Amino acid sequence: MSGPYALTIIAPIDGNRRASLDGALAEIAADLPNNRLVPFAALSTTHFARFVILPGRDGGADLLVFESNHDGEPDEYCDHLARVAGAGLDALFGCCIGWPPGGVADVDGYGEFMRAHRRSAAAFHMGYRGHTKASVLNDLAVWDAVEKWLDANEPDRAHWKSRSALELRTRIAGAVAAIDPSLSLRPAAPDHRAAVRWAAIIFLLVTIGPIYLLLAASLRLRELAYARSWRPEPTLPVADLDALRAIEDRRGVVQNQITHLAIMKNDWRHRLTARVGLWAVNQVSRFIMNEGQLGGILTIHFARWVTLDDGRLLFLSNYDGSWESYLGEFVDRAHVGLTGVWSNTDGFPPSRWIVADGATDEESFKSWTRNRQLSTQVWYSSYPKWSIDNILNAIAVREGLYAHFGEKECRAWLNRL
Amino acid sequence: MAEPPVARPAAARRLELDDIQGLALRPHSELPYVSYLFLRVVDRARALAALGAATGAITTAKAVLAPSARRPKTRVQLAFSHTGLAALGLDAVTRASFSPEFQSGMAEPARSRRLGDRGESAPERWELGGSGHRLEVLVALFADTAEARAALVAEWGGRLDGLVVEKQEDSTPRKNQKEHFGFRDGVSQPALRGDPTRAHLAAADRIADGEFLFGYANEYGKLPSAPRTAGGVDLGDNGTYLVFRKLEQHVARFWRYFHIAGGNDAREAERLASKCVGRWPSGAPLVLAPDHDDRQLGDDMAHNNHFLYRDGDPLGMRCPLAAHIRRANPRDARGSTAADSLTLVRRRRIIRRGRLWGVAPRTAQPQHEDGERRGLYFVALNINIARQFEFLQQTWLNNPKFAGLANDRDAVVASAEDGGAVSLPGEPFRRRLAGLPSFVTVRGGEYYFMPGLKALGRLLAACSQNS
Repeated sequence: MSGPYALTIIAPIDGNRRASLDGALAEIAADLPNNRLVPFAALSTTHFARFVILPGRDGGADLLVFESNHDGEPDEYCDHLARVAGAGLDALFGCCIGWPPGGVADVDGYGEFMRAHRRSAAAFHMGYRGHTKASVLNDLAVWDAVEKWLDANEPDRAHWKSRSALELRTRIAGAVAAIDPSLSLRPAAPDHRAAVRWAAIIFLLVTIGPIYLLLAASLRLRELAYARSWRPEPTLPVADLDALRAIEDRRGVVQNQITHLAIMKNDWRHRLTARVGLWAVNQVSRFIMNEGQLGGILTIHFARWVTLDDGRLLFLSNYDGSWESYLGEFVDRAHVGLTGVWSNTDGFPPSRWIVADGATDEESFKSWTRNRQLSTQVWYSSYPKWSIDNILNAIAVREGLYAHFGEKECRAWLNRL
Repeated sequence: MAEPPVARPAAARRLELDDIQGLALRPHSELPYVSYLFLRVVDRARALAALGAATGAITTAKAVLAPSARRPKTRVQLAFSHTGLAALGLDAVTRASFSPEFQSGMAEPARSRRLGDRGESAPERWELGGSGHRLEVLVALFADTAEARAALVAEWGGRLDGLVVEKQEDSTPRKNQKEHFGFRDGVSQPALRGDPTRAHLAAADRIADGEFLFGYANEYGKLPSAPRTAGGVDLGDNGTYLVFRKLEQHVARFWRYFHIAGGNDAREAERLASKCVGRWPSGAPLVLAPDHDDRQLGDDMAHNNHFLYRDGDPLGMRCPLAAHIRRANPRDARGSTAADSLTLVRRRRIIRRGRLWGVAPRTAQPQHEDGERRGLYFVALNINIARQFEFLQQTWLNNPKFAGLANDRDAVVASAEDGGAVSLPGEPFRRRLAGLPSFVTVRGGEYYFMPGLKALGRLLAACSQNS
């Protein structure tokens, strides 16, 4: 299975209905799980989702964006949305140009609107490829049950020390099955990811290599001219910065989000480079770094880039921990890929040969990012208490419960707890 | 008006020791009596004149690096909060060039979430700073005896015309180099790479000067962007940001918890507490001394800090992943490789200049309240408050997800507000210390800017311009 999937709907807002849209967004944000418009708790296949308003470009209409990271094919998911959150879609996209007068009840009109305003992600990264929300929640519950058993049996550690790890695991597995028979404890399905990894690396080198060399050579003079004229941007005024920070680090939620909008440089070479760069990031995420981490960063649940029709590049990310930590990882670890993409947008710290420098200019890169970050009106996480590390560990704990392990592997499994 | 300093090749610049305040290079530990005077501006013109006249009395790094006989017996350091710069008349455009964290101040609500200052530690309850006090100018006075300190305080109280003391905080000397819980602290301390007297330290502890001072290259090889006036006059050169926090330590609560967790066995209590700290009371690190304290190692400054985590203790069997020192300085344990981790950690370090307050407990491991309040003045220096101090606080110390953990807290410094336990990895499976109360409460604090001496002159001039 290759899910979860990314859905991005982008629609122009009818300026006359803006107040009504703002009101509906505020109502949803006030009670994310149980509001009457988009009751996220009932969206049983949605991992992360957001609604955010983008300013229009050059006086154009503002845009309403819906982002979801979900299980199931897009059409099937849109049907599910209409059933569970129809009132919300009517209230929100009803403020957009082109929404069918009959709303979601007009099945054909609704489907047509969603298809017409759907934008595919130029690059999409997911932290737990192949795992549905139901299976993630199941695995977290299994892990939790194992931890509870260990808590309860802490006084017997001396007893278990004299027994084998295999025996201990068998005991735990039996206890967990008894605690909650509804939990799925199935062993791991066979996985071919490792096998295709090397093939993918070679394929990427062969395809991207020559294109990269051509683009890098053709852009080098432009890069030099840009570096001469470029000046670091002033940092965001502290009031604006504090406004962005006010919606970060929400109490009881371990993730944060970024909505970021940059303007593509007006040059076909840059547009082409961005396309190639995003395609490469997407391939790397799908075939090479497809077990959680991307570019050395193991805090991203879901992230995507979407190219807008008006030549802007939208970045949406759902990540663990603080902004400062996430951006720090961009600079310290993932600067090559990010520079390869964002050096094609305005104001970015100067690059060399497309991928060098750029994001390594820590202060300038962080200011550049903050200056293009937008306040997100509605943002929902299904796993407010669990980091991606925790989720991947829970998956491994569940998979190891009945796996064919030797004593040593069993000991390693116990060390996950 | 002085000219802005000429741009020099950043990497090659030598520390300008006679322009840097001494605290950046030395903790002044031979002077155990400190008074922190938190002053408020009552008459701007007179305050500017008094501060200008006092500039010559501020202790420089050059003075404290002199041979010990010539080092000053009393020392003075000076710093300003953002509200202080406003009260002294610095214009808004110039103030906006300082770091956003400094501008908003330590008590800003979103910042409190990041720093973990809630519940008992919330700024509304602070006894120092927050909305209750105007802590505008910080004068730190260092002396070798209590009498000398009293004289110094009296002298400076008279000298600082136009300013009144809003709060005075007096330190108490450390006993056997230990903090109040009874552990040797401050063992792992970075030094400026340009400090000629620290060349013998391990490379991992010698950090680019620009991580702690404006005007020098930082760990990214860049000059940190410094505060400047609207007219482009540099105000940062040889200066830094100083983080001040008053922390109260609940020592009896600490040892009572560990005695109960250790089945009322004093040795086991000490072992469990040491697991949470990452060092034994002597300072010996658990990675090197996993089973019992090793006083000789603890005292041996050449060896008590020479260890890493990745190869010898990746799972935290010796030093738990959630231990205080492993969070505060993860060394080679973060990231995909040891080298990657060490690079990342170098970009997060702070220089600590903490002192104690309140009397030391009369006995080791006291389990009963003695009616005294005590704690630590946490003082840290860094150039980028968000990337260094706040990152450490939020992403490493207070993060229940640190190093892939599920719900672990720093047992020593984190608040009990969010629950959390400490997992002690072991065979056949981990043990978990649950129900940990808060052992430390934040009682106040503020962000300060500690300027270089020449920049101080330019700063005061910029303040006087706007009359």
